[in-house]
Amino acid sequence: MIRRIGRWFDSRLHLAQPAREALNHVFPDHWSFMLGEIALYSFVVLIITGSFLAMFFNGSTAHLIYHGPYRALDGVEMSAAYQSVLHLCFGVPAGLLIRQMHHWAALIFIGAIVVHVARIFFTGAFRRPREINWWIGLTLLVLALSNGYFGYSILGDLLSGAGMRIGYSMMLSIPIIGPWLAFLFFGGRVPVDVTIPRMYGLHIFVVPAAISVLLALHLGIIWRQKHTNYPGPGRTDHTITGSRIWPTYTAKSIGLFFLVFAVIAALGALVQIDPVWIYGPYDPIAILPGAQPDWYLAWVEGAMRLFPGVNIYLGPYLIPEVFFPGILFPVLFFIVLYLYPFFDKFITHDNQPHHVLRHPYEQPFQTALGCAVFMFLFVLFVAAGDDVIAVATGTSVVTIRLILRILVFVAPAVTGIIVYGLCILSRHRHARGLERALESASAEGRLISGENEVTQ
Amino acid sequence: MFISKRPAGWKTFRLALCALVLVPLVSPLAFCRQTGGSPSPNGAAIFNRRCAKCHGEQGQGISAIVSIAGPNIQAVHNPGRAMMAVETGPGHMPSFVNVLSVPEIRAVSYYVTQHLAVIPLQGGNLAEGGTLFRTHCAACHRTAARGGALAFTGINAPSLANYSAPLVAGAIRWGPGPMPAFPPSVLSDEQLNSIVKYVTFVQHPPDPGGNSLGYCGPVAEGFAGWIGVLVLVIFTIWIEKGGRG
Repeated sequence: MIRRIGRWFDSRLHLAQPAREALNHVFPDHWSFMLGEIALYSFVVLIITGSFLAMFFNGSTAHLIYHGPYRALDGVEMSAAYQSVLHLCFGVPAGLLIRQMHHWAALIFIGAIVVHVARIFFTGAFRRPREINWWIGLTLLVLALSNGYFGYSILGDLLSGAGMRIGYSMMLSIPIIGPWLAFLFFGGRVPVDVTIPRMYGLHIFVVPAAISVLLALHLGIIWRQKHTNYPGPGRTDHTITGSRIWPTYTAKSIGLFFLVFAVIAALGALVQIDPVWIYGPYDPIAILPGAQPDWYLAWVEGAMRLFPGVNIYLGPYLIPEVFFPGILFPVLFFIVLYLYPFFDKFITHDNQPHHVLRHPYEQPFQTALGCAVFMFLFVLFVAAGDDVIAVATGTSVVTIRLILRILVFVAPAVTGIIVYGLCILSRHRHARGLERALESASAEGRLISGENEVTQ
Repeated sequence: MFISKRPAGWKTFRLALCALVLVPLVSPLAFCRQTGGSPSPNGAAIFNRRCAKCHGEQGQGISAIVSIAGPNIQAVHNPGRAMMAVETGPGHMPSFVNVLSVPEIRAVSYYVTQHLAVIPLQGGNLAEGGTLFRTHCAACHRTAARGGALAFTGINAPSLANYSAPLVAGAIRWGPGPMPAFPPSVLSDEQLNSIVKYVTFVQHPPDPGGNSLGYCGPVAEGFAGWIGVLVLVIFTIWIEKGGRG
């Protein structure tokens, strides 16, 4: 019966042959090749939970009075958006669980992208012919970051309102065009009623659609170019070794999907995230210290906290100090990331297509640079929570900021030097190990080859 | 019978004799229980001598840079609570157990709760308290009242998680250290009680979402999220090992 149904479809769509070829596709086996899949499956969880949330969220700033089970806000005036989130948390069965899963999935989604990008960077997987996919991947990261910002800004609580004000101020700080740009994007002087519906539309339609399209393209290009592999016996730039898509790879991948879902569900059920009922409704006269963005934007916030308060004049125009750490720094950072494949070509003089990866120790300078940049970002991330650290440790935030202003330069430099040294040592050790292996192999008259692997 | 016949007035005599013997025996005991052998202690005098240096003549608190040097105690209505504080000496306050006798402690506690407690501690609306808290208090203490750092002074606004309602009420009127005072012209007694009610509530909020991570906000959430990412990375290694060990 199943066979007959299958024939019926195949005689019309002719899918059996391409499907067979597809299932025979070989995908290399290494745990670090599954990091991108964590991001992919977090995105699936985001879509599933987000669809549920969209049925209850009301992206409107209409004013109303809350009456509901959370008595600490009973009778308080708030926006319809915030009221709908409270209803979602306290009135909708499983609403809070789904909301928390959505938020945790967002944190894990971007965390997994960062780990994935780090793997690509340190193994040189961005080299020819994969520059296009490197750019698509970076664009996916930028889209994910902005959608995270839109997502937590639309809830209408005090923290998200503070975040929206910070974003608005950052955009205002752009010299000359800032006010126009901010007016264009936020629809007026924040807080203004049109911002939340606008961001909601971007959050649930425009950006997810763009992410989906680019994701399909990202995976399509991997399919077309085939996946890279680590250097090893029998691995050349012209072959690929690993498991077939069906059944081995499919089983591994589906297993990972369940694990991603399980970890997100566990966090959503056990750890409270973004308790908007404690923050209260957004009110422009209520200010909130200790207002941090989610971790993936905290590096920008940290840069703004550490940057000295200097006002620079460009002719008659004042460039506010927010512009340098808040706009210029992240924009330059991403420009450098986008152009990195060209930079790599420049320092290695290597323009050949590569399908075999290089170990991080083979490029000591690049590895040291990458680790230093990660340490720099980590110090900035910590700096975004300097006030939380000050309260938790009972020290002065002024002292902590001073320490972090020193660390932000010292820690990356030390990290870079240590990693460089480790890479040199490791390269030396591997060269000697390889020599010895070749000697013994030639002595026995054979070459080592991998087991249980399919070569294509 | 002559001998057995008791003279008139014998009963009275017997009572008087009993009284003569018993009163001197019992009365010191009675005095001991009541006053310790001295006249009834004067709570006001003890307060002015022992407590006013830190708590102020009216119990209004002494403003000092040390955050809670001598708090305002004008909202302490419960003599038992006052006695316990005098005896145990909470925080920086010394214990007076070896300095004051029990009746003196009792007297000073009654003086505090009956003559100095001018801040009423009743009524108030929880939700209105939340709104007032966000407007007047959250800018330093943060919305969950877990304390905040003040960048311009380098001093931290303390967490209110462990302060009792009378101390919170007193601090609002008093303004310890760099904190501004909120006299009745700024916050009415009703509004003050609303805020106290909200602070008491937010010390133990319901937390329907699970572990609160100490109400540290996105910083703590970021670390927890990264733990999730690391767990998943370990899972990928486990999968590549074929799911063994």
